[in-house]
Amino acid sequence: MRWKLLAAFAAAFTVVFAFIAFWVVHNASEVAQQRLTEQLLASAQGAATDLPRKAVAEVAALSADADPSESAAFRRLEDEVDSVQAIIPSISPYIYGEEDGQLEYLVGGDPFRDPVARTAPASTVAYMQRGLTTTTFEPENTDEYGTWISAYSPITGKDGTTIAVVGMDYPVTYVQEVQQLARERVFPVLAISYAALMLLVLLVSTLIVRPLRRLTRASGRIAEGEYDLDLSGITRGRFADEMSDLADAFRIMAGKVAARERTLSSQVKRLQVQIDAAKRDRSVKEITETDFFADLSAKADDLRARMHRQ
Amino acid sequence: MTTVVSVHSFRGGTGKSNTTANVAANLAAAGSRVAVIDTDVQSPGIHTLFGFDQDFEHTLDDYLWGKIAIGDAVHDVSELVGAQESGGRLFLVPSSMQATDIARILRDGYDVVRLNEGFRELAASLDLDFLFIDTHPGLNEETMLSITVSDILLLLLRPDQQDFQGTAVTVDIARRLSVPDLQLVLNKVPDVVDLDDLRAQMDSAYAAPTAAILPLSTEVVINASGSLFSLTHPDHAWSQGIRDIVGVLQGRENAEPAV
Repeated sequence: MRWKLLAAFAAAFTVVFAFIAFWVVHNASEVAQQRLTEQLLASAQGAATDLPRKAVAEVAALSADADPSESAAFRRLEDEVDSVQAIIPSISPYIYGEEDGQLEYLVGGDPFRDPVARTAPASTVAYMQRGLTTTTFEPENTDEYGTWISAYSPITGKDGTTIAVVGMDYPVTYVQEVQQLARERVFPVLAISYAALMLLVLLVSTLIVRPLRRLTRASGRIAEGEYDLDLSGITRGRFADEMSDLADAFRIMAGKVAARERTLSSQVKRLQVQIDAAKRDRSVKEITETDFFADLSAKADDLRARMHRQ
Repeated sequence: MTTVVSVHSFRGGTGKSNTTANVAANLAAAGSRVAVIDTDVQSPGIHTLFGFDQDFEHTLDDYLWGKIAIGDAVHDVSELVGAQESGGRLFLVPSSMQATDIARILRDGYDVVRLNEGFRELAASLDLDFLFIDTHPGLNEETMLSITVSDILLLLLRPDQQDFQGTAVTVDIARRLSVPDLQLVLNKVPDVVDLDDLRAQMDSAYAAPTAAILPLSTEVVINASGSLFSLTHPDHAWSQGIRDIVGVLQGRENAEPAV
């Protein structure tokens, strides 16, 4: 019974603990992802507001064959982008714009006036396109440099038209790190609790099984006709419980069975066939001495013969 | 030829009527022509086992007083035990249950010679295989006559000292009356008893065979003579004991036919 209990509880705990582990890790990464998304959007939006519009407009107006490093505005924007990265090193910020319906990098990212579509997949280009009109978040996406989450926020001129867009990429490895961390924190706790619970089940089942085994042995002895049971320790002590009640009932039953057997065996003794020969002879003599008997025994054979004469 | 079986016990309460009725019913069901005559006119009782609880028009008492022929007191109960299917028959000659009749028997006694004639007529007219005489307990003149004319004496006893002692007396008397076969039947034996030991003790105490040892059974007691227990409970140990007695009687009938 002990191993059955242990197996049953182990199965139940395994299901429950697996669910807890999954839920904790999943929840932690979900929260982390949400925080990151908010942070990334806020950073992109902040940068789009803070970047000097004049410099952005100048760089956006540079032609493709110009050397941007000669432009003071370009250098200034490069400094701004670098300072953002200095504050949050894992973020990769860049500025891109639209030229003849095509997205091109301006500052950061790929070289100046390089088409976005050269390195970014079509789905990412679509998100970046949307970034021209409104602040946009792009969930997990992969390009040749790695896997990212990204935010795009438009830089608007005084008239409200979009001059360029600030893009920010953030490596998703951070989310995986959070998951890893959660696993490392949660799993040992779960493993220790699991082991402790199993030990507890083992202990409780031992407490139940041991007196049951003793009662089983005791009933075996009753079957053999031994009624002086030693049930000390499991009969009612200071703390009564169901087990001690059972042991008590058992002890009383054994006592009653023993008493009944004593009664029965004494009855068996009375079944000795004892005949007092002298008394028998006296009784027989009383009958045989009568005239009726003398007459009857003389006629006995004749009576029987007549009985069968038909 | 009719085998006359007297069923007797030294004291009352041995289950004499119950055993007689059950053995007779089993023999009839097995194809024998059987009659049971209740000569316990002082305390009749065997009729209840065959389902009768009202007064009979004619009884053994009427015959003993010369009012009727013995044939008039015969009741055919073959149907009750399903005897016809096997070609067997079962007849009952009851004693009167009326208090005035019993009082008269006790006061005046009856003619034992006439009783004996009744047995003879019954055996011949019904072409019986077995005639069972259910006797009054104790050794009085009527029972001694019944014992004398019987081919087999079935002596019932309970396992207690008074019965052991009284049965020894009856066995001695039966021997002096040259009863050809004497069989003991121990009834109401508690199941805690070592039966082999008891049988051996009986053999040495009476020098007579024990046809059956019937167990003390609450079920038989609860049945309370209301019906033929061995027919309604054929698998019961008590019913098996009844069949042991039947076997002994059938074996004797086949082995040494009465002359």
